Amino acid sequence: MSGHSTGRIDKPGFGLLIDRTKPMSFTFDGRLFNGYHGDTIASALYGAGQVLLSRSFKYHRPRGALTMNGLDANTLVQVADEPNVRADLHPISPGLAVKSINHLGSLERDAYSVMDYFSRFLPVGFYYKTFFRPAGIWKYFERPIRIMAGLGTLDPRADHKYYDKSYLFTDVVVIGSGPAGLEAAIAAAEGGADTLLIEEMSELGGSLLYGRIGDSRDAADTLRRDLVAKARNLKNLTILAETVVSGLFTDGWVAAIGGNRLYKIRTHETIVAAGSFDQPIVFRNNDRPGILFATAAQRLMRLYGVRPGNRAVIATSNAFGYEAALDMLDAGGEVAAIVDLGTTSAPAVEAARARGIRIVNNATPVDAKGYLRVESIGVAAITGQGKTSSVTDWITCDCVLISVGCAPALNLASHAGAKVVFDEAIQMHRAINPPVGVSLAGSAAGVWSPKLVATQAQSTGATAANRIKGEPAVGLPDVTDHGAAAITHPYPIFKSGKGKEFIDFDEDLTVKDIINSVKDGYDDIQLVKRYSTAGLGPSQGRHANLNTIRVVGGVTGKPLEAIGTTTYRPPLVPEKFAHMAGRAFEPTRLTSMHRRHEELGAQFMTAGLWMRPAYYGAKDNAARAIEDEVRAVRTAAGLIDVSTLGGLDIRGPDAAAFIDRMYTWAYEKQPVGRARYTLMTDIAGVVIDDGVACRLAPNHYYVTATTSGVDQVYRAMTWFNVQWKMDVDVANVTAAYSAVNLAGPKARAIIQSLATDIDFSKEAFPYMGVRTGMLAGIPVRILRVGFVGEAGYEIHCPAGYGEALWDTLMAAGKPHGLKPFGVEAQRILRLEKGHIIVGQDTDGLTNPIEAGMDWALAKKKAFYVGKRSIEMQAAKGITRKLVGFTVTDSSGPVPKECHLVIRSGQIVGRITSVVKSPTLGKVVGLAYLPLDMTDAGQRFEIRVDGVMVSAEVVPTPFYDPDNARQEL
Amino acid sequence: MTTQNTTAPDQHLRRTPLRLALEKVGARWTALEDIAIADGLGTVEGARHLAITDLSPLPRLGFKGRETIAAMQKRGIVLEATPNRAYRQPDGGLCLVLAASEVILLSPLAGDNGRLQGLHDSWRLEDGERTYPLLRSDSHAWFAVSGAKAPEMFAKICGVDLRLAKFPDLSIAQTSVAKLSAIVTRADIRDTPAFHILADSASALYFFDCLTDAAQEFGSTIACRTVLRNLESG
Repeated sequence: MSGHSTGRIDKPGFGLLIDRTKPMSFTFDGRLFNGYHGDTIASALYGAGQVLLSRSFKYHRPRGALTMNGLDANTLVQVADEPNVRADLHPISPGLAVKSINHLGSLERDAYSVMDYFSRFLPVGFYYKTFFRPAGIWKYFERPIRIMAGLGTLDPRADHKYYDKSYLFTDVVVIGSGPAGLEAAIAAAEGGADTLLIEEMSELGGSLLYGRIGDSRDAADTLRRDLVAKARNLKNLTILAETVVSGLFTDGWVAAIGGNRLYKIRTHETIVAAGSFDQPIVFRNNDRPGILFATAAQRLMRLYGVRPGNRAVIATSNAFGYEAALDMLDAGGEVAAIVDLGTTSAPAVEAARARGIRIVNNATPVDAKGYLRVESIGVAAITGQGKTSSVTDWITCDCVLISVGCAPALNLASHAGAKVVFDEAIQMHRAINPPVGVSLAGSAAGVWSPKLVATQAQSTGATAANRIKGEPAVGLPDVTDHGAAAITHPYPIFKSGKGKEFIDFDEDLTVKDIINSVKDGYDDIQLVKRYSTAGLGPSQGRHANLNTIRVVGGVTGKPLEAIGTTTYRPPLVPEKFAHMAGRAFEPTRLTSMHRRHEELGAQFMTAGLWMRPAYYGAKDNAARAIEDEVRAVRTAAGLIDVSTLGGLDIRGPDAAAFIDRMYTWAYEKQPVGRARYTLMTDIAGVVIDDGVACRLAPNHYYVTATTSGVDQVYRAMTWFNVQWKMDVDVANVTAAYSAVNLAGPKARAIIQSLATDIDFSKEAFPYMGVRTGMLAGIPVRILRVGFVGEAGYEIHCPAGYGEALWDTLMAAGKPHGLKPFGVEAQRILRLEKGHIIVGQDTDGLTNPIEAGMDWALAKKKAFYVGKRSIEMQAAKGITRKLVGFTVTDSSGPVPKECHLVIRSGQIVGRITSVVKSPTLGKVVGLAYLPLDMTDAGQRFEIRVDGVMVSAEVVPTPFYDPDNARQEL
Repeated sequence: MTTQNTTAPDQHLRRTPLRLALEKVGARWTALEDIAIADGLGTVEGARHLAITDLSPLPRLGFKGRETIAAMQKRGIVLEATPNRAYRQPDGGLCLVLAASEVILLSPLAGDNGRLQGLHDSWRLEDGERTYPLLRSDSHAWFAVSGAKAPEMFAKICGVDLRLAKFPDLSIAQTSVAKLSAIVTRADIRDTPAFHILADSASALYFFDCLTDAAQEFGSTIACRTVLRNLESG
């Protein structure tokens, strides 16, 4: 269907948000429609005569717009890959492709609508009572139910979209820019407070955008323009439009969503001026498309220039319905009748009467005809609470505008901690005892009369500003609005003998369902909610809760005050997971040599936040590349970036004593210029880190730690330093230093080829020596350590020089066959040498004795962290030990880390490290075994993917057992 | 001594971790002591609106230890023992007092003629002074975010209220920015709001991406030291 704007109003004062000079086309279920810039999907469709928007959740009944404010589920549609888009809020754009949801076949001829005829088989709580007998029946129901359940469709291939978050800070937040919100915000800002006014719509004004004051549209429009102009002129008043608050939390924490952004707002004062939610009349077929709230019709007309129909019936119990009737006439439509559930008295009533509208008092709609759109409405006289005569009149119409009362929007105040109680005088709920810093204004506070709204809102805003300034809070004036009692009808629920009268449109719940919930024993309102699912749908009971409470009150005989309410929980409006996730902040640490690794074709792996080269070369040739790197280190020289290693400077008179307490070995007598292995245990004696301590001066140690363990080590050091009050300073200098390990038989020749003030001869710079000086113009700290089992130099330099150091060494090493090597090769090299990796060859319970590290425990020291625990464990005796092994069955599969050692069918140990050694030509590894299995030569079996592989305990190191090579 | 020669980063032994990123946006390079600093980026107008500048090549030095405040005063540094407060130095540099026992000294935009290096080199462990130098030039990258829109941009990546009225000139926040520990110091350049951020140098590229991403919606630019110096000279 092409765009045929039958419902457009071409008059001044209608279509505030649309730009008629900018028409645009979009599709709905593949059909082309036209609208204007500023239209929502729903308004454009309505304007083109497409009132049917969706099918209901359970019975697949046809549904149309209800609120035109994003508050109901009727307008949920699919827009491209985005499900559950609210068509009454989502703007159209050229080429937008919109699809209706929840139907089989076309929207007009939904095959699932047959469900409407099977409702007797779907009583309230049916899912608790069915599908489980006879046994096994569920599997036959599950698939069709899963197909039919849910609304939109998630597309796993949907493009990633950009969402982010932002903090906002303010003194006062005002939620809602209706007359109350504007007045409160202006007063707060004029009182000197930094004020943030948040409005969901693109234009400010709330009900002033479409409503009337008394019977005057001009008065409302003039007031809106005046207030908006005033607000915009205040420099300390920030306006955040097209943003909706989804939750209020303690400590002035306000969550708001604007487009693809989640705002995290911190405020001292919050004023909730969020207005109220319309309430429906409950009667047979009250869900037919074309039956909508009067405010929805006014929004259609005033904001989008769309008349909701040509001939309307107004069903009302207050002045607002009459005002909508006047709007309908002004928009060029016809009002067939105003059906007044009582006898409303207001200026608009007289105006309506003066314009010749038929008014039927003390009557109500009780039935509707028409399927895809309402065609006529059956009216009956009200004879008592919820009781009527039979239909006295069928009135032909194409739309029905409902205005029988409101429920103040108390959700946000309730999130913050206010108590919600029912006020019988006005037949609405109120929020009482809001927490300090939260107040309500306007209809959310039960104040409706325009003059009182202004007074109360101004006072609320000024009081908030005063509190910001620390001035004594002035009590708010008594603004009890007696006129509020004339707004909400006490019982607009009219059950018929047959058919469906809907209380909850989202969940397709009828009056009968609520009554049966109570009859089934669920007579508490919280239980009714959960058993019936009333209020659990997308609109979260905004239009269902009050009538549900009324029905429960009617059935149980309890007053509404005693029934209470269900709990309001955030979010108030739908929040996407994308909003929660926002823009991902995932810090990545790169060494100063990272660019060079990229240029060399490194494949990277993560190590904590760091990116480290795993190996250099193509992924499909990884094994060969790693093997080549290992061979280079064993036969010539290799260079690995070890900048990620932790580094700590320990300086001060107590440095040696401090190190002595922190680590298990002895350090106080360690000579300057020497490095010593460090093993750190926690107070339980568990191995938590290792490295080396380099004594650079009598009062200065440079300690290395593992990449992933350094933060823990630094925390432990600062923690104990505070307790011990030693004269020492601990600094984590990990990021300040880059480092490489130059290792291999050619390492000395390479380093000696560079200009330096350090003597690299074996005699002057022996194994485990430490030197500081200059190397090729770069200040360095050099450690002669041998993690990979070859002669090696661990060269540390300030990080800014790291890349130059790499470049210099690579160039110097080229004639010697120097190759860069990565973490994978290093793992093999260290395992060939039998060195453990803390965290891989130890676990969260490993003590040093089990790990074979008892040689690193100082026996004579009075104290080190964990000493007492280790001594207790030693006295008690250990049950397992880390040993080296080799696989004896060379034809079998190669074990992997964490494969289990099996004896007599029982798990007795596990592999911690294993590799097929290119140097040794066999599989070697480390494993925890029971003590009676740890002697060299003992055989054991490893379960490898279900196959038992034989292995034998062997001494370590596997490679160069005399440690001759590293000390070359 | 500061020199003003066109150069390339690889010609120097010290290098900023951002050089590739800055080259991508058209940086030229000027020699500054033993490092190259980006040039030819941004405008003064852009810096007044919102601009991000890598100042990592400029000198900076930390001192930490229980006698740090007195030790700095002894060296002629202008400061008091007020944590989270920055002090302008006579040469235009800044002293950031992070705690009663820790400071960071930032060079003036023009460079410091080796003053901070001199402070580092003249410190001797054997003097027994309970203050210890820290290589902040290497551990921390240095970014300047300038312009009136800076607080709005920070609101996207930092939970601290950095609005100009709430975070006055010379305030310091030691906080998390884009999930990275950072030291944020406001030190306006004449009448232009300016925030100096020191953050893990190993995460400099990540952090630069976060800053530029957050600033994009405000029409930000990448600027250079010369632009900030022009801003400084009015």
